[in-house]
Amino acid sequence: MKRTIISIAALALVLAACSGGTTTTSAGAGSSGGSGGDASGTVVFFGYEDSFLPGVLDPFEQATGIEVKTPAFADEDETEAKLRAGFDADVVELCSGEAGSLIEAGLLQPIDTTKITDWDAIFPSFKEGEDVVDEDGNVWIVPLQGGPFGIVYLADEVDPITSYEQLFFGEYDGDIAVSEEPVSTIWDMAMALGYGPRVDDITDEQVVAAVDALIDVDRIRTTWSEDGDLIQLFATGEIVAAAHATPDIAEALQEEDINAVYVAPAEGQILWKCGHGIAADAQNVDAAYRLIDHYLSPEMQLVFAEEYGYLASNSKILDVAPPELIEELHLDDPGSVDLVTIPEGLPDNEDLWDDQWQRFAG
Amino acid sequence: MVDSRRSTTIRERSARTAPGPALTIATRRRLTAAMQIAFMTFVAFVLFGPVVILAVFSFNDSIILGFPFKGLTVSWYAEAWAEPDLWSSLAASLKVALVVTPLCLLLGIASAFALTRFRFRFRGAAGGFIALPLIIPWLIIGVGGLLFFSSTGAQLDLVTVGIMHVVIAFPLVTALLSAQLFRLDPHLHEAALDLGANERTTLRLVILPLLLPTLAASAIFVFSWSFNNFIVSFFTAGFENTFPIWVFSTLRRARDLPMVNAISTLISTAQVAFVIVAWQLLRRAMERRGQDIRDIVAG
Amino acid sequence: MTAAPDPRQEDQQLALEATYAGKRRGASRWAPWVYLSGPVAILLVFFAGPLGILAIYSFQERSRTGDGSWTFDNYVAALQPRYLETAANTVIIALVAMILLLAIAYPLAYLIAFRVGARWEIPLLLALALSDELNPLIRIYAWRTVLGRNGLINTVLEALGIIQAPLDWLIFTKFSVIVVLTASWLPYAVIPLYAAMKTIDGRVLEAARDLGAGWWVTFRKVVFPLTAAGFLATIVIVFIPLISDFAAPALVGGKSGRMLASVIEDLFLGRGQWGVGSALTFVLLAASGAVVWLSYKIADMNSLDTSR
Repeated sequence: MKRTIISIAALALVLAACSGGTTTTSAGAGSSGGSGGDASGTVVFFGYEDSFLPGVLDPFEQATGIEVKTPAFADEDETEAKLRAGFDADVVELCSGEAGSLIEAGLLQPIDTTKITDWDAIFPSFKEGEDVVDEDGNVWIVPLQGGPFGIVYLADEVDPITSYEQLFFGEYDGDIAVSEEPVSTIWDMAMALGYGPRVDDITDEQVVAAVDALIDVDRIRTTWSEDGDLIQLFATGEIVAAAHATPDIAEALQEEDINAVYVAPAEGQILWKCGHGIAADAQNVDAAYRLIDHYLSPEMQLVFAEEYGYLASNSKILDVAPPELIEELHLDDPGSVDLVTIPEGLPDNEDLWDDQWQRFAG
Repeated sequence: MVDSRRSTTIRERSARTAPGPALTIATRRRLTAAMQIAFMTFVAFVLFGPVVILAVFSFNDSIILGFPFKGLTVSWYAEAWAEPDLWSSLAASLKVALVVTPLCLLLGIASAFALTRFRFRFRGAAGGFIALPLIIPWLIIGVGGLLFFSSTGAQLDLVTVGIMHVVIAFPLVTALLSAQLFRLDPHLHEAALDLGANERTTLRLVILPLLLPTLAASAIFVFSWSFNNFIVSFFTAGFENTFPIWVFSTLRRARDLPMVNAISTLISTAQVAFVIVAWQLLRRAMERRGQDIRDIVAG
Repeated sequence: MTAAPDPRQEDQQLALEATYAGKRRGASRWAPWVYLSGPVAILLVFFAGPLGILAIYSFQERSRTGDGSWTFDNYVAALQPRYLETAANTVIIALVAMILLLAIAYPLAYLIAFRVGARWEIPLLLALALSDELNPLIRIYAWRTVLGRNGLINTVLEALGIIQAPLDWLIFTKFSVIVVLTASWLPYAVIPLYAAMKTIDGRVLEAARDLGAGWWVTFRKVVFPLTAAGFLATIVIVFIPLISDFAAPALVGGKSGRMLASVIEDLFLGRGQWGVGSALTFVLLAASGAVVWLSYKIADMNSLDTSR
C-alpha cells in the first residue's frame, strides 16, 4: 500500500514537471519575444527560409545592435495558421494575394509609410493590389521583391506556345501541368477564355465556365506543387508545358541542357510580389520598421536580385545595380516586362473559386 | 515455455508429413521455397527499391532525379554539408527523437503492462482511450495541438513538438507490446509472484527481458515516427525547425531536390548502420551472458 | 489497443487472476492505475485537450473573422455532395490499399514467423522497421522515377517488347496513389500481424497438418481465427494513416487522386476555415470509426465461428 502511494506521488511529480515545463517555456519566451521598444532588443522576423540571407541579416544586426530571430515557415498557409493561433512575431513576410485573410482577421497593423525611407521610390506596379494598399489608403505590405508568372514549354517537343489559349486548346501533342493553387489555375483558364485579365474582373459565372473548361481539357496530366516538383515533371518527360511557371524554371532546365523556354502569355503575365507586414500585436514595432527599411534599401535589394534574379521594388536599385543585371532582369521597368503585367491578387469571392475547384480536383 | 527451435521443427515436420504424390514431394518443396523467395524478393524491392534508387541518384551530376545518368559527383553532399540550417534542424530532430523515444517506451510499457496483466473496471475504456491517437489523423492532432498550445499561452518550441510526438507515438508502443504480452504465458507471471516477487520486480526481471525484441522494434518505430514526422511538427514548432520541416521548405526551391535527396540518403544509411551495430553488440552481450538471443526472440 | 483480445487468453488470464485474487487483493485494485495514470494523464491533457478545442470549433462560426456564436452550419457545409464525393473517393483508395497491404503483409508475417527460421527472423523484422527511416517526401520522388512515363517499369517493359508505348496510367492516377500508400505502410501492417502469428503454438499447426488439413483449411480454421485480433489491430493501425495521407496524393495523384486529407488541409491552411475543417474531420472520424467497428464485428464473428 505504501509503495502504491509512493508510486502515485512519483507519477504526480513527473506530470507536474511536464506541465511545469510548458509553463516555464511560455514565460521564458515571453521575455525573449518582446522587449517593447528597446532599440537593442530582438525583432522576430517570421519569413521564408530564402529571405534569411546572412549577407542581409548580419549587416543589420551589426549596425543596429538588434538581434533578429528568424523562425522560418514552409508555406504561406502555415503563416496564417500560426498567426491565427497567436504566434508572436514582429515582421511577417507576405505575398500579395495571401494577405487578405490576415488583414480581415486583424492580424496585421497598417504601416506608417513616413517611417519607410524609400516608400516613394517603390515602382507603382508594386503598390497595386488590395492587400498592399487598400482603397482607404491603408498600407499593409511593404513590397520588396517580385517576378512574373507565365508559360514554360519544351521548345524541342512542341512549337512555340505563346498564350494560355494555345496552351489549353492549341494543336500539339503532349501533356501539361497546372498549378495546384485553385486561384492561379482558374485564373489562367479564365484568361485563356478571354475573361479578366484582372482577377476582380472575372465574374462568378466565368469562374464556373473556367472550371468546366478545365475539366474538359484532357491534356492536363497533373497539378504541380513546388518549383522542384515542376522541374522534375519536365525533365522526366511527363509534360511538355506548364502554366503559372516562372522564368527561373526554364533557366534551371536549360542548365540541365533541356531546351525549356519561358513565355509571357499574350493574355498577360501575372506579377507576384512579396514584402513585409507588421503583426498587429508586434512587441518591437520600432525594430520592425528598421528591419523593413533595411530590406528595402537599394543595397539589400541588389543582394536579392543577384542571388535569386527577382525584380526589385525600389527604383533606387538602378543607382547601384550593374547595367548588365538591369538589362537581364528588366529591373528598370517591372511594370511592363515584355508585355502586359497584371498584379497578383485574390478574388473577393475566393470561397466560390475554392468550391468550384473541388469539381476539377476532387 | 517456448520452444526456440519451434520454427525449424515445424519445417522439418511439415516436410516429412506433407501429403502428395511421392515423386513430387521434393519438387513441391522446391517450388514452394522458390515462390517464397520470389515473394520476399518482391517485397524487398518494394521496400528498399526507392532507397537504392535515391542513393544512386544522389551521386548523379544533375538536378533531375531520373535517367539519363549524367556523371558521378559528390557535389550534392558537399552542398548539404555547407548548409547551416540543415545541421541545426538535424540537431533539433535528433534532440526531440532521443527524448521522445525513451519516454514513449516507458509510457508504452506501463500502459501495456496495466492493460494486459490486470483485470479492472474501465480496462476496455482505458485501452480504447490510449488507442485513440492511433486512429486520429496526424493533421488533426497537429492543428489541435497548435490551437491548444496557443490557447494556453504556451510558446511553440521543441518542447511542444516533443509533447505531441509522445502523444502520437507511445500508443503504438502500447499496441505492439500488448500484442506481445498477451501471448506471454501467464504461468510465468504466476510463478514469479509465487516466488515472492512483487509486480514491479516481475516486470523488470521476467517480463521485460522477454519483450526485448518488441521493445527494440518499438524503439525504431518511435524514433522513426518522431524523426520523420512532418505534419505534427509543422504545426507545433516555433523558432527551431525540425529536419522534415527543413526538407519541406527546401524542396520549394527549384534546384535543391538532389541536395535534399543526398542528405536523406545519408541519414537513412546512418540510421541503418546504427541499428545494425547496436543489434550486433546486443547479440554479443547476450552470448557472453550465455543466452542465445534466439531464445528471447522466439519467446 | 487491446481491442479484441483472444477469448482463450482472456480465459487463461481470468483463471490466473482468480487464483491469485486473494493474495493480491490489496494492491490489485489500484495497481493498474498506478501504471496507467501517467499515460492516461498525458493523453487527457495533450490529446483530449486539443481535440476538445477542435470539437468546439466545429460548432462555432469562425470562418475568417468572428468567433463565438454556436452553429451547425459547419456540419451542413461539411456534408456537401462535393466533399462527400471526395470522401467516397478517399475511402475507395484507402480500402483498396488496405486490402493490398493485408494481402502482402499477411503472408509475409507468416513467412517471418514460421518459415524463415530463427536466424533470419529478427534481422528481417529490423529490416522492415528500418525501411521506414527514409524521409517520406523524398521516397515519393523515388516512386515517380519508378512509375513515371520514362520510369523504370515502362523502360523495362518496353525493352522487353511487352509494350510499345509507355503506360500512362502508372502515375498520376488512383493506381499510383494506392501503390505508394501500400509501400509506405507495409512495415506497420507486418509487425502487428507478425506479433499475432507468434501467439500461435507451433504444435497446433503441426496437429492440423498431421490431421491432414491442407493449407487452406489450416489457414481458414487455425491460423486466421487465432490471428483475428492481430488482424483487426492491423486494420485499425493502418486504415487511418491511409485515409489521412496527403503527401502521396499531392505528388503522384494527379488530379484524380485527391483525397479528403488534402481537402481538410486546404480548409485549415489555405482558407482559414477551421470550423468547417473541424467538422469535416469529425465526419471523417465517424466514417473511419464505422470501418473499424465493422471489421471488429467481422473478426469477432470469425473467431466465434471456429471456436464451435
